[in-house]
Amino acid sequence: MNTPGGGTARADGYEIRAAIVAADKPLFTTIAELSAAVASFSVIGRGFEVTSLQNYAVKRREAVAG
Amino acid sequence: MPKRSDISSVLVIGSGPIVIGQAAEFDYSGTQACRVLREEGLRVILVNPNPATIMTDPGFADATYVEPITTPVLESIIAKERPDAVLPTLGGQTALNAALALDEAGILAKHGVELIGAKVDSINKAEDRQLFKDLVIGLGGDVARSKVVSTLEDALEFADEIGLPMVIRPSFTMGGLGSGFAYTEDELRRMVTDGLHQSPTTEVLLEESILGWKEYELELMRDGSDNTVVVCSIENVDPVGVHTGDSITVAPALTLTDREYQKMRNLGIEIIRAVGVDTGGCNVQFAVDPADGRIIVIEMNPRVSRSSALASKATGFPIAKIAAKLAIGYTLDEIQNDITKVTPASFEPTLDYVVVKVPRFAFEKFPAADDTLTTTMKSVGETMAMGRNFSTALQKALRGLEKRGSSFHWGEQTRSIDELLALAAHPTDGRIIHVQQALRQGATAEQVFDATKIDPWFLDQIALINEVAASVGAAAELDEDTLREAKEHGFSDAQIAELRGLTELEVRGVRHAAGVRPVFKTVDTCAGEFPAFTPYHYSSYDQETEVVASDRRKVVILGSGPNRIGQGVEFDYSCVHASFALAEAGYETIMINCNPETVSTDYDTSDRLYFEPLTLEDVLEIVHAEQQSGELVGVVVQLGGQTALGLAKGLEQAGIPILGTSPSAIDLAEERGLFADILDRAGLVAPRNGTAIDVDGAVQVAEEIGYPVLVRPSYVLGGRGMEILYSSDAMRDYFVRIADAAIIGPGLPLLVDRFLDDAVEIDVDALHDGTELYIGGVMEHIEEAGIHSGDSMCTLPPVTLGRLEIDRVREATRLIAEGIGVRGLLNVQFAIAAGVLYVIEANPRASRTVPFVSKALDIPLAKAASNIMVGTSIRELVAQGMLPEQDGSVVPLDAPVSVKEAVLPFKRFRTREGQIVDSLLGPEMRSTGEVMGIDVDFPTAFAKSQAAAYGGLPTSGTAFLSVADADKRAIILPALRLAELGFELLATAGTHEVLARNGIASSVVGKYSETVEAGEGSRSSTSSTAARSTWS
Repeated sequence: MNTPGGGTARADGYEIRAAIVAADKPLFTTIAELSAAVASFSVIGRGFEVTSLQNYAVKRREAVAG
Repeated sequence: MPKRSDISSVLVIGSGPIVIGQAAEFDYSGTQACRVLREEGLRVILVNPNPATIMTDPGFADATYVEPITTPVLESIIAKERPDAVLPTLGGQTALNAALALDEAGILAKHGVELIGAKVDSINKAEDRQLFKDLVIGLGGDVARSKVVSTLEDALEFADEIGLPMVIRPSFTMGGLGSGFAYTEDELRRMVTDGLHQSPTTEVLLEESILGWKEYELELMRDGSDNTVVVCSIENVDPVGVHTGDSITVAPALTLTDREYQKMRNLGIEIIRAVGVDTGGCNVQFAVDPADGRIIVIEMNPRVSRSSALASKATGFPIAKIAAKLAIGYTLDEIQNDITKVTPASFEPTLDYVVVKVPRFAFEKFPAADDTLTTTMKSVGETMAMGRNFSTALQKALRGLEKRGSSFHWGEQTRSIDELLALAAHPTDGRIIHVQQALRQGATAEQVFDATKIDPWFLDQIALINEVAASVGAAAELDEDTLREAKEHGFSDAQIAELRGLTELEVRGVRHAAGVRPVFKTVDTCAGEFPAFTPYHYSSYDQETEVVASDRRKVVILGSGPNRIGQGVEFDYSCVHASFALAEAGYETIMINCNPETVSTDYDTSDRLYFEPLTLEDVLEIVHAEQQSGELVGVVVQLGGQTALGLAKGLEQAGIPILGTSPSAIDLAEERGLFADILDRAGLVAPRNGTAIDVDGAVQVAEEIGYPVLVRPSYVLGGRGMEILYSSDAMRDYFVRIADAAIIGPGLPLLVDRFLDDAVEIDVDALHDGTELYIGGVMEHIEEAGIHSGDSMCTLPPVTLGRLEIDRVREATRLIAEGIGVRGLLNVQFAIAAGVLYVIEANPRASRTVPFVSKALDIPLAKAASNIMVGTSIRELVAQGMLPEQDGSVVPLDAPVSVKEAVLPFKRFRTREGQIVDSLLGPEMRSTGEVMGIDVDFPTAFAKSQAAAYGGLPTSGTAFLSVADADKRAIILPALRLAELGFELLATAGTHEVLARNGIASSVVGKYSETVEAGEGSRSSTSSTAARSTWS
């Protein structure tokens, strides 16, 4: 997680970001992104359910029909 | 063999987000495959998280999963859908790698699913460089001397043996990622270390340099009965050293002797056989030493590739479609050629025209990046053109790039021959122009060949173009003969105007008066041997037209031209939908586009396809030809991005009807003053703003408005020079930095807007029919304002906006749509700061988010917009059931949440010193593609978007935190949560202090600048070690 500051912090920030990208690790440059990521950590462990768009459409129609 | 009866359902794996090296061409091939498989009565299950694609439209598959392409997700889909087979050869390297991972994990065997299109064994033979080299040598072919290494030490040893320069290629990566030339030991060390890291198998291939050799590619197909066809040969104008994707290429190969070509052809066929691609397509790349004709095999792709799409468009032979049929058991002789309807697919295509492809780059987006072209692909798009000769095709392709300075020109040239030769020797964007200028200044073909290694035949052709230019310039008058000579070599009216000191309009007038107009030829796959049934055309200043006249009511749809950052596959999606919708509504649809990667340039998307540059001249000629019969109802300009929109005014002035929002209404949205009036009348506000033409004026304006300000030069394309400035010092510094570009001055004002710090940004896509507004979707950006909407993540429905705020947004959108006079699509960007709703900008055209909105909420925006443009009202569309009753402004609580995440190409771009360019997001767009995550709530949808874009977030390990003072307060909660989840935290001193005061444990990491001062280690090794340890 790195957000840009001024002065030497800025130059350091660039080195940090370049290194993270080169090493192929996740990089966050805004707090908003990090917050969203942190909120998602607990769901990642559970694995994902999958649903097709066609199934979503069926559910949507059922919801409209009540 | 007829179709296999044991396969009744197939899982097709797509290619994921658009990235450099893997772009829209895989949407084209995947869409074709889905269509064919369904026509054959198979149940098609598709997985692709890229919402911008046509293939993920629910109509193209029986079950469409907009889900991440990861092993666990694919297994869930397989378990749920129980397909008989997986087809991985049409979704690029992504799909192929995903299939190999499924096989390795035993998932295919566990569920009894067969891999079709390519066998694991064949994929390995082709992809494993050593196995492949051995195979080629076994066939009597030649390869570059090489060695696969898995450690740096081995690499250095091999370098001692064969010497530098040397090529480095990591195994199993796409688009040449991580590969390049090492000229020095330092470069070798860096590239091998990175390459080992990039390669999923931690292997890198080192190779003898074949820099400057001629480069070729053959597209081949083979069936289960061992029938093989060579679909197309492609020659690179740029010799080896420049990635094929970044080279100007031509089809068919033009500078080979028949003997050389036959040798290559035979070797290609033997290779496809030996590798065992028995139900599909592949491409094989060759290099030829210009000195002695030695031919070596570079590599092969055992799947449909970027070049296959190009070859399909170049020849009219639909490789992906036929590959899908072969995969389910057909043989080439059983598949009919759509174009001739009498020849089978085992009949090799013949070309009686020349095709040229030119790449489009985006270096202006990455000013720090080294723009040298290497074996790592850097282009973001391409354009293709056809002509009866090479000079015409090349000139058409260059103008199809739509970039100022991309065409040959004959204006003032102050550089000397030596300077121009030096420039041409360095391969970069626009090198071909330096070649043309050098030749024009009198450089000999030998000199240019020595500098560039471009084959003398191509140089001679460029010299010929210069000669024609000289003769056009010197002609006593611009008569029919002179015009014909120019046109037969692809000169545009604008180029002739430059040579004659006239305006483009004057040249056009003279030309039309002289009766010099193009005819349209048909791509027939057989050089005229059989009649062609497909309506796929290109212009030529030739004798007779091959277009069959039609008396129907016609609509012309303008496409979006070559992909570039900011204008990509999303616009093609809208154009294709318009074509489908208008065909359903009974119109004859005519597509004009010059992008070979797209679905819109598939010959069976529209009733007629013109593969032509999107310039006013080329479009006017097509429209004129079409107006000779039937009725031209109008031209659709609002779906093809800025390219199509930019032609609206010129078309209107030529008396051509424009469908939907009128050109004068478009002006209302695009001109600042006029748009401000609309907002005033509607009682809406924009951020405070002003303009300035020099530094003092800018400082004054900014101080009046108050910092921070967002500045952008008004007449610069691509968002260049767009920045957020926080002080007058920063403003002065900005003027110093941009001084060289000369983009601000009298007549070129700098726009200065108050920048809304901490604002929530909102994007709206909507339809308006003149009386009614229909919201497609309201998207909330996840990052605060200041990041280009194309680069920011967004969620649909919004997850933190209140009902009242959404209502205000809806009402404001309605007022803007009415004020402008929108008939069709409208995109508006808003920001909410301190409770105030600001209007940032409005675009009366299809936006980048149209496909995302359409898929997230199941609202076919582009189709509906096309119907509105031809006069159908929103009410009627709702009554017909095309649009749901409830528009996208209200989303029920039990509906899924969709998150769009941008995918950025930073990894591709390095500075001249070898460092990766800075990856900070800003007001200038730099993403190449996007993915969508869809699930019951925001956190899950977000997690999916991350998995789809980057393979997923780690859930344990070490996190490194270093934030600016302004963010210190906000970092506490996320840091606390990371600690609770068990992450070990590292922080820089300032961040550490804040965390410590809040009771969160972290270890301090010394500042990088401090370690450098202390003399610890070299630049790159320090930073990469630091990075490696943070997340491992």
